Amino acid sequence: MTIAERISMERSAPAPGPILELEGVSKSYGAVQALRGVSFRVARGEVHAILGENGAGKSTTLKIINGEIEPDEGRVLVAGQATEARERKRGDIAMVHQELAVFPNMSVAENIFVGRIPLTGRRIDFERMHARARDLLRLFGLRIDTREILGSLTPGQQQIVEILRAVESEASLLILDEPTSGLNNHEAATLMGLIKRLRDDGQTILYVSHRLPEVLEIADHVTVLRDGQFIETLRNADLGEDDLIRRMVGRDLGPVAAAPRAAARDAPVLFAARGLSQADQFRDMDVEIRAGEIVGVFGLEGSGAEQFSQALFGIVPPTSGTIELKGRRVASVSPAALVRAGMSYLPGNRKEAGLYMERSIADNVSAPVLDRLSRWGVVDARRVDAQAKDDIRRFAIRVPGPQGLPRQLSGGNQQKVMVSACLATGPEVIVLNEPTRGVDVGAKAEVHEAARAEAARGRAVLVFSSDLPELLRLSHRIVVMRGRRLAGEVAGAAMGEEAVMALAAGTR
Amino acid sequence: MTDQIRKPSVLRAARLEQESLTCGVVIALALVLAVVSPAFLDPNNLASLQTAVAPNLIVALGMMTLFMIGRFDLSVGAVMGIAGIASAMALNAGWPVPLAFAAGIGTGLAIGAFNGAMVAFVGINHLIVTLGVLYMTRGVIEVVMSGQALAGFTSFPPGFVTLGTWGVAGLSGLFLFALLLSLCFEGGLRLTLTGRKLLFLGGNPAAAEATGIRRRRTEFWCFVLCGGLAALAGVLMTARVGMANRYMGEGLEMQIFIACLIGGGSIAGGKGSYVGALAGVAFVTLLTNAFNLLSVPSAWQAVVIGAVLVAVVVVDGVMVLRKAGRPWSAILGLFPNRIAAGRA
Amino acid sequence: MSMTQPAGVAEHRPGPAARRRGWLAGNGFGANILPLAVITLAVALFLALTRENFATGSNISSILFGVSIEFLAIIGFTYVMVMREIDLSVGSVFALTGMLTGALLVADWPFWPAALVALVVAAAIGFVNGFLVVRFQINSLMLTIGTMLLVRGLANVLANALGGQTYPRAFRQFARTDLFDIRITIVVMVAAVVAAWWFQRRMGLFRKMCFIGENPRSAVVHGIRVGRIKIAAFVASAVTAGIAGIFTASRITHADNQMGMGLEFVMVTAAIIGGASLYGGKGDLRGSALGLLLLALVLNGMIMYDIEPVFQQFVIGALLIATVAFDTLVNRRTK
Repeated sequence: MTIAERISMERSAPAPGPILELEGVSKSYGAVQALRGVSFRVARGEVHAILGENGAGKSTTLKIINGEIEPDEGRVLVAGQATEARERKRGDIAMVHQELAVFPNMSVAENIFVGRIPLTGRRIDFERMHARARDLLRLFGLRIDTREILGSLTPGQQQIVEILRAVESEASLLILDEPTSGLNNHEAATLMGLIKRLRDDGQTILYVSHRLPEVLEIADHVTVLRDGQFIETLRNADLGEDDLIRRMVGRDLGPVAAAPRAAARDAPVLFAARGLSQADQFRDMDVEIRAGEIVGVFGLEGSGAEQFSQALFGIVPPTSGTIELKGRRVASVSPAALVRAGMSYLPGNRKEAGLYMERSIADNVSAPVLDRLSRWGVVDARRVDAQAKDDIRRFAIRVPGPQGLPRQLSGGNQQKVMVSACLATGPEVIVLNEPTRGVDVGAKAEVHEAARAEAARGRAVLVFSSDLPELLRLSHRIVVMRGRRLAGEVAGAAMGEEAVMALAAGTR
Repeated sequence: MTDQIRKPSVLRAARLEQESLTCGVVIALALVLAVVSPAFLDPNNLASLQTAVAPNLIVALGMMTLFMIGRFDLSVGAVMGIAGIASAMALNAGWPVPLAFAAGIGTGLAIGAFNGAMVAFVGINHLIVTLGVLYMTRGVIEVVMSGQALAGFTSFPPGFVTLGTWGVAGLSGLFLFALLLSLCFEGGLRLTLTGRKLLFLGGNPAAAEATGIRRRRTEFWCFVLCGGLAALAGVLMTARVGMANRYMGEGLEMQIFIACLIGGGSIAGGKGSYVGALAGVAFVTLLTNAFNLLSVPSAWQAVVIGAVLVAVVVVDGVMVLRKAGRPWSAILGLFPNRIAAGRA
Repeated sequence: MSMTQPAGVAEHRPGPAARRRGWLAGNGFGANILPLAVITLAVALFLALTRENFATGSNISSILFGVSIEFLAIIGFTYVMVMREIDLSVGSVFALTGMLTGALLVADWPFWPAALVALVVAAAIGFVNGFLVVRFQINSLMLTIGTMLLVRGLANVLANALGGQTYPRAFRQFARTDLFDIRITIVVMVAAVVAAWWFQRRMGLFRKMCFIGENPRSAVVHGIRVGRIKIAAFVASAVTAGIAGIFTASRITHADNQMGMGLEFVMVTAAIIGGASLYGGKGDLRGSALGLLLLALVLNGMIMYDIEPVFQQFVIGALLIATVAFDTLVNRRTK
């Protein structure tokens, strides 16, 4: 850490009094260490980018800076003063979160000024509000009327309005977390212009993104995090994408269990999506998976990968294209029909879908196969129990028994319950979404083992994950999405972090 | 792309799109009635329309306030009834008119405060709370009135009766008052921070709380306001008809609920205006009037209102799905899960 | 919540008792039936001991008769609530079906075809409710308020057309049909409660309903046909309400436009007392039956104690709020 710090200090121009300084900040969630001794400083009036893969600790760092959580160790100095989380939350740091926090029912001007609506006496000063909003919009080249209702704008425009809200607050530090994830190219370009203009006005901006061209375009300094650790702060001069990629990747992959490449080239195609599109979400996606293959799909935020995964299982049906299962075209793309046709899906977010927190483990793992465990509609309790016990043993789920509740389990064990349910139907095509998000190392290995075992039994496995090392270890080839389209595919010897990242984040 | 920034239409910018549609329908309905039924423009009919609109509008103002923050109150009809009775009893006990008036309003405020506390601070679903309170209040009304004739407490001092019967230039004072009140509310909604806060809160509760709006407290006071307005309507109507009527406001909650929905409110919150409440109440009242004038059995009225409500709800659902980017075939088609083959 | 089995994966054969307890504890299924039954029994005992005219055969059987008819209507309603939807049109469908049957009989139709046509109409209303909710993803509360009014209007049109005419004698006797010397509806109620017990414990369909109510998104991913099951439940809700309506029409012998007024709210109250939740995933027909019975006993007791019978609405409302408040506060503490 000290070496790294020294390097960073040597490289960065000694600005008069950095506005923000992190000193040895650590934070852990239970057994997971999210940040380990992170130290860097942000000078006044610069655009400072934080770069790192998913899980590198970017969002935890931001939350600490924004005062949403308190670090376990270390200090956060704002303008040279050590501060508490509470002070920073109230202080003049404005953060734009990745998720939209806008009011779709209110006007653009009101969205910009919420919390700070100008008043004259008790009345709202609409004239001043709209005039100022109009200035802001014009300044940043947006062709939006300030009286327009926000809900009628595109998600990208809404995002920009939210950023303008932060700009308007005139905070001395502006944090933008993946601001371009929901934007199209034109909107992203507008945003880049906006950020440059703000910097010219002396605004300090902390910019988090994993889109390398953007970072190279606007950042003065780039801080790279990896595995919750500070790697380096680089001055953005003569940097290339490769320089950044090299520092981002190279995470400790643990023992590399190279995926068996036994997938025969002439094995039958079990699943194919051809020309699949969904309005405003993704276009013309083609994917083919053969029996025994594990195919990874990688895409950064806003690449459309998440929507693609939901569409091919009919959760939000695609608008056009064809889906073929075992060589036969699926006429009706609905989850119920696809499950019956031999497909299975693991939802990406445990909290939202995939578990029934108030029902027993036995109920959870039997949910997709109730019909099979029943005779004339009557559930055979013994078979449900037996299946639950099998799964508990097979995945080494640490529970008191089949009647335990998921909410009493750890994240890793919950995930294993979900995977059990997903595999319960004996599917031939398996779609796994973020199969190891937020689980410990042991559970991760077990889930990977299960996926490999399924492939070895001749099933087709499609893995969507934002954890690139995971995909590299698991998949036979990786399909990369960028800008809501297919960006390319890497396989065989060419399959490496840099190659995938270059497709997903770069310009190639 | 032209250099001109696309301006939203005036109605959209003022968020009066559905309101204006309802207004248009109301005007059309009035015109048709004027042509079809000569009795429509009869002074008696116009007077009865005014007295029908006035109390409902006052109640609807409170209901619309709750709609804006994504809540509703089913106890308004019962509150209206009990507030009127409370005033009547106070007068009967020899209280002076202002005190009796305050007694009625106070009853409503107290019930509203109970509703609000249960919903905002205890965290019970508002449907359950206000439904329970509707029952409890009706029960109390029955008990209080059980010894009385159908219309108990009929002898009111003239000062009280005037509250309900005054008029200006042939227009009912109550009607004018309700109209004025709704204009004041509309002004407050559009011009003051308090009004805007309601809409911010309804539009995105979590984000609103993050910007410093106090959700629970606002919710509580909205329920209090709603109870108070329902009580006001009840007391004024009691003064108007000159007796405490145990059936006053029965079933009113549904009428008001529907008026607010038709007038542009949404139970999801974040939408609605007091002008819309006015339009909605006018629509429901005119519809009732039309059935009376054309001597169609009143039962058909419920059929029509119900059908209108179903239509409004369905159209709203379709619009939401369309906005989410679902193609028409997936919304209205025979096989919603079929997708078009070929490339986009 | 206590776990009934020791930690460890190795245990293979828990005794049947342990399994049953595990099932109860693990799912909260039926967890509040026992306390509710005890309370209901206590109220009944209290009344029997303190009022001599309570424990008479005629009083008990009239309470049970009343409850058994309402119970018919709450069957489908309970299962709609399990799936986190609500059907407020039950009271109106109840009235329409009853009156339609009566009207057809007045027009000299034979009984079974008349009842069948009325029930088909009810089923159609239920289908429309369910279909609109599923296809357009509409809030069922709003929608069924609309259908409630619409159907209530139709029922009143029918009532006005009938003008208080009494139904044919044979139909008036229908509700008084006895089976084993007991009113047939009471027999049906007992049979249905037993069937519900079995249905809720053993049938895959009920488990799917609970899954849908608890987490619809998970249910979709697991290939459960959410839409179909929901539509079926709305149809069931309308049909069971219709059957109850036919019995009620027969019992009150003439068209009455007050029939079934406010029934939906009595049902929400009874179902919630019986363990259902507005947030879905829970619900128990046995509990709903006990809820209805408890309400009926309390109201009957009030009459026995010469408390204003009109005060009964107050009691229903207070019970509803108290139950939910209790539930909310208890849940808040455990979470």
